[in-house]
Amino acid sequence: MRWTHWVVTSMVISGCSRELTSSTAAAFTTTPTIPGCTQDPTFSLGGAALFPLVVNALGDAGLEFPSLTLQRERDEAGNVTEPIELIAHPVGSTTNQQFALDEPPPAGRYGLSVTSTEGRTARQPAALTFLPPPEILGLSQSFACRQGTSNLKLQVAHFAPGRSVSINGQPQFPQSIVACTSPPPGVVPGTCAEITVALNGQGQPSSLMRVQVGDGACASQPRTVAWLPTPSVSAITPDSVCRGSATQEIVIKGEGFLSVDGATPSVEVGHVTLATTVSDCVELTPLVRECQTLRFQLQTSALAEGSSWVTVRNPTPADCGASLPVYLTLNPSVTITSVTPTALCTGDGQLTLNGSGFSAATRAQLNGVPARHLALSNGNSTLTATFDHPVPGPGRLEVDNGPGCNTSSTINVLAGPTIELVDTQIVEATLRTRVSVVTTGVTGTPSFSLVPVGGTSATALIATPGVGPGAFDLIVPPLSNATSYDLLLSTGSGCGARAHGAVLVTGQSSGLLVPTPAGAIAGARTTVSLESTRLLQRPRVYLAPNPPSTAAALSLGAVTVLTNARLRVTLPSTIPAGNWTFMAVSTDGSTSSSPTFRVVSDAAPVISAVTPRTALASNGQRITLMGHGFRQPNVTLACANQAGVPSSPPTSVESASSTLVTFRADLVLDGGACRATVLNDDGTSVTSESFEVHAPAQELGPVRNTALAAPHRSPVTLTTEHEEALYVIGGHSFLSPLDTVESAMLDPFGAPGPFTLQPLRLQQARTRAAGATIGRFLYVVGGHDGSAPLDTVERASVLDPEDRAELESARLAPHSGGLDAGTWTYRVSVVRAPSDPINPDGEDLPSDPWPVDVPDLGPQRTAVTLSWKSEPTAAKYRVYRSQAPNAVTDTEALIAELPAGQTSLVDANRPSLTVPPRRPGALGAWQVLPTRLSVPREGPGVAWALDPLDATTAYLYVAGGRSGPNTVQDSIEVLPISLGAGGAQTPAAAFVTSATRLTEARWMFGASPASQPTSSNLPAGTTWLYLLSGLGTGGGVSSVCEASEVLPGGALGAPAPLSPLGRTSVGHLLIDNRVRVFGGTPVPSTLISRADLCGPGTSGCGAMVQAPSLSPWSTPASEVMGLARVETGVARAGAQVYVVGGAFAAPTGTLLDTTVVEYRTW
Amino acid sequence: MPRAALLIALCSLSALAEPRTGAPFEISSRVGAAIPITGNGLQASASTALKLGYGLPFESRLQVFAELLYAAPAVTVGEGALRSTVTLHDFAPTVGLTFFLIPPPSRLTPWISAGLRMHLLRAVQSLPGLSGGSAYEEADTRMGGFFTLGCGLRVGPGRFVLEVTMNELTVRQRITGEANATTVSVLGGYGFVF
Repeated sequence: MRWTHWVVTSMVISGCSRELTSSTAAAFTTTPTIPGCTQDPTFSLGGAALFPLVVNALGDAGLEFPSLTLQRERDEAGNVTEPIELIAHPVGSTTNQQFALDEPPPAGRYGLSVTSTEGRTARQPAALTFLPPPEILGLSQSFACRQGTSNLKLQVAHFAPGRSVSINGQPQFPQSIVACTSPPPGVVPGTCAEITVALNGQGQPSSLMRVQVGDGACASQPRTVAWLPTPSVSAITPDSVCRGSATQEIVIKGEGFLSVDGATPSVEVGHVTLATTVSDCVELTPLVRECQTLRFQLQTSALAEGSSWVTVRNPTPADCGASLPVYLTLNPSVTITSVTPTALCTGDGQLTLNGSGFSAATRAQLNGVPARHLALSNGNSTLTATFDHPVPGPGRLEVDNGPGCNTSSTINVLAGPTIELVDTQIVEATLRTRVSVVTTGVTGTPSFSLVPVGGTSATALIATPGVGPGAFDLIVPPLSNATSYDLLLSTGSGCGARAHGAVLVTGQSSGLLVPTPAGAIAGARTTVSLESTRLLQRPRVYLAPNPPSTAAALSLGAVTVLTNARLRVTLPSTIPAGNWTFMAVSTDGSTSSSPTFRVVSDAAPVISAVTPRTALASNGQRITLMGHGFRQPNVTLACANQAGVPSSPPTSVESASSTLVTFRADLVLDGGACRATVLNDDGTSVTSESFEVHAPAQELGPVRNTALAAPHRSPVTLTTEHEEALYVIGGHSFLSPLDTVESAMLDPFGAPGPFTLQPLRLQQARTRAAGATIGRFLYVVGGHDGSAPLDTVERASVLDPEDRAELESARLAPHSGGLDAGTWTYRVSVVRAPSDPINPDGEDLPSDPWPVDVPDLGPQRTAVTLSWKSEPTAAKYRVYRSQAPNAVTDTEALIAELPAGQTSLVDANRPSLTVPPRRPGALGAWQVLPTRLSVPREGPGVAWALDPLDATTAYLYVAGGRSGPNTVQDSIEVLPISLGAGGAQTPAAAFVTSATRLTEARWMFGASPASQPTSSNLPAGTTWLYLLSGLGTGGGVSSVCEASEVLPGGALGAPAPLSPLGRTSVGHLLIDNRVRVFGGTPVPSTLISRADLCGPGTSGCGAMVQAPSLSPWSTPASEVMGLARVETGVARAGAQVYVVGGAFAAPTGTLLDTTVVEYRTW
Repeated sequence: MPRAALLIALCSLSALAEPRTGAPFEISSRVGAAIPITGNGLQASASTALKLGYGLPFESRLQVFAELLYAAPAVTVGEGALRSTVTLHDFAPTVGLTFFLIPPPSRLTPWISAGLRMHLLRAVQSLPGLSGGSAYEEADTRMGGFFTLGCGLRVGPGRFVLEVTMNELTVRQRITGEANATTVSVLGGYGFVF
């Protein structure tokens, strides 16, 4: 219709007609749910369709709004009034619902007229109401407790429902709005007179809250309400008072103490309520002050003796509950009727006071120094006070039960001896125990006795002068009364001395100590492991005669606490033969003792060989142990299978002599290794090296891996004589020759621990060297230093736990700058002189840890005087100490380095350096031997053997090797070495060139000795050197393998040809009757080749062929390495073989040096 | 514009001297877009036209025609709740004269046209918050000229056509204000010739 109209009209009135129409003009609605405010001339018209007209849309566009006019119809009271017209205009340019009047409207009801942009007008009566801003006429309260909730009532005016209520600007939802007017509909809306809101003071940051109704320009004036705290008490002074004082002022410090219009908080003491005065106040409101200090006067007669609770409560209407209670103690008054003795000795500060009013709260001072110990007796009518070393002269004794509750007396203090220190605080009741004391001021010969604390029955002690001024050693006899004792010193006349509660005698032992081994050899230092059936706490260990005798128990100094139930002690070599008992006394007074421990004068048992070294995993296996010192022996086995699971297979001894023990064992193991222990009937024992147990079809065991700390390629890999450790020496890493040495300790079955760097390095970096372990020395021969082959030989000794310094005593003395109380651990090590045959210029292993219990001397501290045995070839001694009291073992660090002539040290808290002592497995200093090879040799074959006729001479053979790029040697050099006492070895002045030469010059090859009984296929009494394949002159493989017999004087017999091997043998092992070669050269390989020494039944040898001949080499697929590699180090210890380092091929073909160590049973 | 009209008139007179060679009637329908070119905020809109023509004798180079054209460009003004869209509905009855540069029986036939349009205008102001329709409307009628370049491709009984036309228009309303609303329209379609 509209379109038709438009088209027709347009056609008729062409070019000159315009018409504006609106579909919404003047059609509006108002939703004034909340009356407007006379202070706010803006208002909204909700839902209104008062759309503006767009004008000049294609030019400078603008909007034309409908015009709004308000006509006042009634006043606030609802009365009809004279009409007032107000003009409204839109607010802003983005909404059509906000309008503002040109001036604040008078209160009342208004009609609204709207004239649209095309000129039409519409009017709505009673459209809007404006009221004055609301007012708060009154509040139900001016305070509110911060804790808990309460309701606040507001008396208001001009408040229409819908307006907001806020506290500190946060809108509140009223609990109720009441007292509202109900005018007739269409008249002015009703208002309400009372609002209730809930208050919650938790978390309110301010101490005042602002309450308002309405918001913005239409908000009331704010009214304030104060949050009131609950009082809290932080201190009450004094907290104890004396009955003797009639009135006592008490001061209470805290927070939240309120003074309200002059009213102050009340204090409740027990059941008595008292008024207070306040101070340290700040004003919260004109009527309310918050204070931090209260004072009140206490009538002591109103309270009962003892403790009473004290609470604070604020005055009403600010009472928001009582404070948490504190306690005030009312003490009785104190009197002294007599004091004995009337004169006090400085070394015996014990006074007996008779009187009244003594209690547990009673304090005593002498010249201002508090008593160290107080004891009540005789129904609290006697007080015994003990003072530490009072100063000689007139003294003032003060006794009090609190402020104003004191009395005093005069005491004369006489000079006399003192007991400064007692080194043993706990003794076992049945032991005869040596106790050392340090005294001062002693003249003549003193006598000592023990008196139970508080008792009179004295036990005399045997005293002998000790080491140091004023020192005495006392023998405490067995005491039946297990209690705490005072130690008394008497000089016969004049003053004596007393150490109060110095010695605690504990009851009989209640735990069992199990020593392993169960016996020891007299004259030898023996390490004994002690397992306890009860927990030990910093124990002191004694070795007591069994049965008891007049000799005192020996206090063992070298005690290592392994766990809280396991100790390791080292018995000094001075322990005489006889029967003994171990006793461990803990600091908590508990004790444990062992059954009889025998020390015998016989020779120590020694196992020199185990045959066979590889046993079949089956029942009834016969094993023979060779050695000496066997006495009615029994044999036990300790085994671990391939997974390391321990077991103890049953054994039965078939025959035994002093040098040979044959036993059968049921070796039902899934492969693994065992160690045999020979246990003599006198308790002494010895354990063999491990031997392999293999299943019938099994040969090399499964591979287990560990890793070096850094890659080593072509290292020298050696184990110690007794197979405690594995060493990886030199080699090279990424083309750099190494002078570093890594080592790992081996467990009883050969599993290596973590590899660590030895503290001392080779004198010269070298790779492709060869080496041998002769006795306690590691020899490293030849090699290449990165620029040229080497002709030098280095050696180092494996530090022997037997060659350690021995601490003898640790004496204590008071010292103001000394050590704090607690257990301190000491070790001493010897630095040997350059002339020492074993470890020249090197530091030995330290002594066993020596724990020293330092007593608590109050303000005093303690100096420790250590003494140790003099060592003949010592150049220096190094003293190590734990860095803190009660630290775990093995945290000792260097505190002093002393010249050889000094065998004692006073430690008054010396500063410690971070240098630790040598660890087990450490090597002595590396030394380059003055003897040199006749030519430099890189990659030589090195082996050693004893002279067939002279067990005191060994020969170090160095065969082949490369002297230059195109010079490969076929010569063999021999170094005679004299074997001396104590493991000393003296090399000859020069190498001797052997008349026997290699059949074919070669380098990078393996050389090993072999002899009976381990290589049983060789003729008895002969030793052979096996010299295997290597690299030849032209760089290709020299497959020649040969063996030469070691002849008297070190000469070698004519080489016997062996089965050739087409690989280099640098990584090889000859064990019993089998040779294995690991890996390849120059291409990395996982292959393991093997051949057997020919003998009866050896496969591939023929019936008439005997060792030294080898069976043909084979490379079984069942025996491979985990990692294909070259230039590895290979070694054996017990039942384990180790393949160490070398290089493997990266995917690019590049050879990369490796840290991987494979080990497995053989 | 006057020069173009003169050229068309001269061409028509010369055409009158020739006999007619093709069908005289044409009815065609075209759709496309009208693109304001005066930069006053109007946005392009769809456009459609329906044409009825009659070819004059003498090779039918001249054609008189009547046409109905529709377009509705819009402009948006304001912000917030007062953001409004003003749409200018333009319904334009038209008369004009076409000169075919190549006579129609040819397969490809270019032409030029000119004439007069009567613009029946209706400006409608609508608001997003207003449901069901517009807030204000304002009607007006204006005269304007036009000039067309066109081309036809003979296919079947008629031809496909493509035209570019300049439509001259000046509006003068309360809603739009006084403004130049000239557009260029591009239309394409098909015409039957009989």
